[in-house]
Amino acid sequence: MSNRKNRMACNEPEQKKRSTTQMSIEEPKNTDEHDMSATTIQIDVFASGSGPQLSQEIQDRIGDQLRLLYDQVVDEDIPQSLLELVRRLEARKRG
Amino acid sequence: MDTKSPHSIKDELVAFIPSLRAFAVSLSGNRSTADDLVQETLVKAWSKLDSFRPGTNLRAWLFRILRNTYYSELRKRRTEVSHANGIPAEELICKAGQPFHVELQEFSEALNTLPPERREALVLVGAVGLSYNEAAEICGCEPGTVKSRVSRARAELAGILHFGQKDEPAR
Repeated sequence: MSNRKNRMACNEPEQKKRSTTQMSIEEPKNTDEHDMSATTIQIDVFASGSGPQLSQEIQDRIGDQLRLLYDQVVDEDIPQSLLELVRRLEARKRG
Repeated sequence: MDTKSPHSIKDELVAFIPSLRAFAVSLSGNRSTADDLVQETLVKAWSKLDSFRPGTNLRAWLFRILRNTYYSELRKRRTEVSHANGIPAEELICKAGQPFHVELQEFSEALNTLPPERREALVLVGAVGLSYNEAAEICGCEPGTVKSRVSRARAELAGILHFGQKDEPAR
């Protein structure tokens, strides 16, 4: 994973944007919806007009991996603890 | 509630548990946190069932409860949550013989370095397959905001993973 660090270090502008956004998300006081929209505006400013459009091939590749990751969890058995919880909730509602 | 018995609602809740878990893992990057999140979501959903209007989107309603729970927990315990600090999340449990596991592990770690708002937008649109409108309903923002978060997230991932670049490591 040191390889990853090197790669990320090459990506200075991306890193800066990322940390700026994180700071506003993690700001302890203003974490209500209002702050969320402030963050949004910041992201939109960065999003508009900068950077080349990713090729369809890269977008598909990202999409494939996202779905693989997600489906891996979806396909797992539901933990008994969660099934038991729903049973208890239902019993409480009836009782 | 008038048209749905608690029993059928219960079945519907159970049917959504797998996707709620997957969404929770993508938000928190941690399986035990994810199951705690799902647990809390189910308890909240059950206690608020009266406010759910039958015929409206149950999935969006449940996902919204889950992500709001995640963010309020994140605010409460910011220092305990390694995820938002870009520290690699818990290792993936990969099935033996899965050919993509190394690439997928790297992808997962890169995904975890994204700001939560971009990560959730990308997951909702790219993995769950929701429209910008439905994702916006869950995130409590405008569809255009979801769209820009998704494209930022894709660009960042492509940058981190060097997708499509000459120095991309050979697979």
